[in-house]
Amino acid sequence: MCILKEDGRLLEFHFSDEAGCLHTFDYVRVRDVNEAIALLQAAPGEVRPLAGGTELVPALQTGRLPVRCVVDIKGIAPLQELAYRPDEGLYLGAVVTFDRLLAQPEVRRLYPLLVEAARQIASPAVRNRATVGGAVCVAAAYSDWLPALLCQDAVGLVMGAAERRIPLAEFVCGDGCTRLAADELLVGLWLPSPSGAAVGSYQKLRLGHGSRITLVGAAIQAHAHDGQLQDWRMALTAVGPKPFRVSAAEALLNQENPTAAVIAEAVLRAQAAAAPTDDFRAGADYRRAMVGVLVRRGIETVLARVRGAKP
Amino acid sequence: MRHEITLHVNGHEHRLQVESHHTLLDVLRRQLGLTGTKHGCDCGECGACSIWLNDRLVLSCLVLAAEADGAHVLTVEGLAASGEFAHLQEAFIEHHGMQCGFCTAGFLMAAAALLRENARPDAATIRAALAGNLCRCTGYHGILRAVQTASRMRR
Repeated sequence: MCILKEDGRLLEFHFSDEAGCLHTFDYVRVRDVNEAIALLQAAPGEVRPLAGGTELVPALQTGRLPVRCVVDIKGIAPLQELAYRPDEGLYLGAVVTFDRLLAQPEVRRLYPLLVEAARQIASPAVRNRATVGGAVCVAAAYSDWLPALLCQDAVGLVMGAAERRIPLAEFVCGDGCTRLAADELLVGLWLPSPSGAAVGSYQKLRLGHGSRITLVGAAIQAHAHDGQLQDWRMALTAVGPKPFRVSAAEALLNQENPTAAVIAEAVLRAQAAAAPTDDFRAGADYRRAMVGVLVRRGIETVLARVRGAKP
Repeated sequence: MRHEITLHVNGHEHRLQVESHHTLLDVLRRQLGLTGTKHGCDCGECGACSIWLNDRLVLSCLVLAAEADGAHVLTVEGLAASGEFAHLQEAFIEHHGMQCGFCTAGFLMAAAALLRENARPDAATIRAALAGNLCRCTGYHGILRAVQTASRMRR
């Protein structure tokens, strides 16, 4: 149970008697960022923000999280903002759901890689709830969303004791691990405008459509200027402790025309950067081999799309 | 922690006492006795608990009941009662879109959500829309044919 002052400052805070016992916890809905942060600060680590809940709710059901209170942040208006300004770029409030993102005309026109990745996240019912900020904070090593954001040089906007801007490449530090302090809130994502007409492809291998676990994913993006492709970007997922950019392959594609030999070398560089592990879903060798297949497919898809074909 | 919430379920208003950790699925099945919505994986993988929340397809095992305060919920019971998707239900029967029936309510809710937005989906669109629903009996072909047939019928 939490009691709040009207101006958002915390007046008094205490958990209910049963909070934290077995599978129980407290639930509080807030309308204001400062209220949310006040609650997070009152008991860091034991109070967790709740957005779409598609990861947090099942995790709470296991009773293994040390969470005694969830703060529902979906109703905070500034966190719902979704706006594109040509000079600034795209602002995504943390609680924007993937179905809302996919319906946005500017996103569909200017950020094709974001769209192709978001469309492949889990299933429609999950995309109707899951949020663009939640998926960043979950920081899954197999995330479909993070590689697409990394290719946009996205920046996370964080509020807590102070306001911080953290590039996504630094924000995520490992599987399920972020630089977010327990008393900080990710309020939104800022994506710069693309440097030209962006062409992108997200290639994903999974056990079945609708499955939430990605075995290997490759995000590829380039920018067309007068029919020439520049500023290649590549990110891999599920082949390391966190999704990451492959700068060695990007540098090669930026220097040379993408002939068959150059693509083959880019594939090798991507495979060299991958550090997959074995698990019950797939072996490391298989994952590394699939990095090659997906990266090649991604580059060829981008090239075909620039030529006007739509494979 | 106890919450008093209001839910509009299948057109009826309910005032309910729920605990913070109760999911919407728990409340629909245990408190309201609406057992058409099935309790499957509890983690958003199987689609058996699919319902409409404020007109959007969601998995009721991933929504806390307290989050849904004031919301409008449609379950398979409400879908059937409305008659709006009777042709979809008929098509499931005609094409053997079920065997044990455990997944059927979820498939109906997902398929109806698709047909409401896209009256004439192609096969690939239907597969993508139903990707979050698992069926271990039919092999999916009957389900796919049922939705295709329903899309060709007049609503």
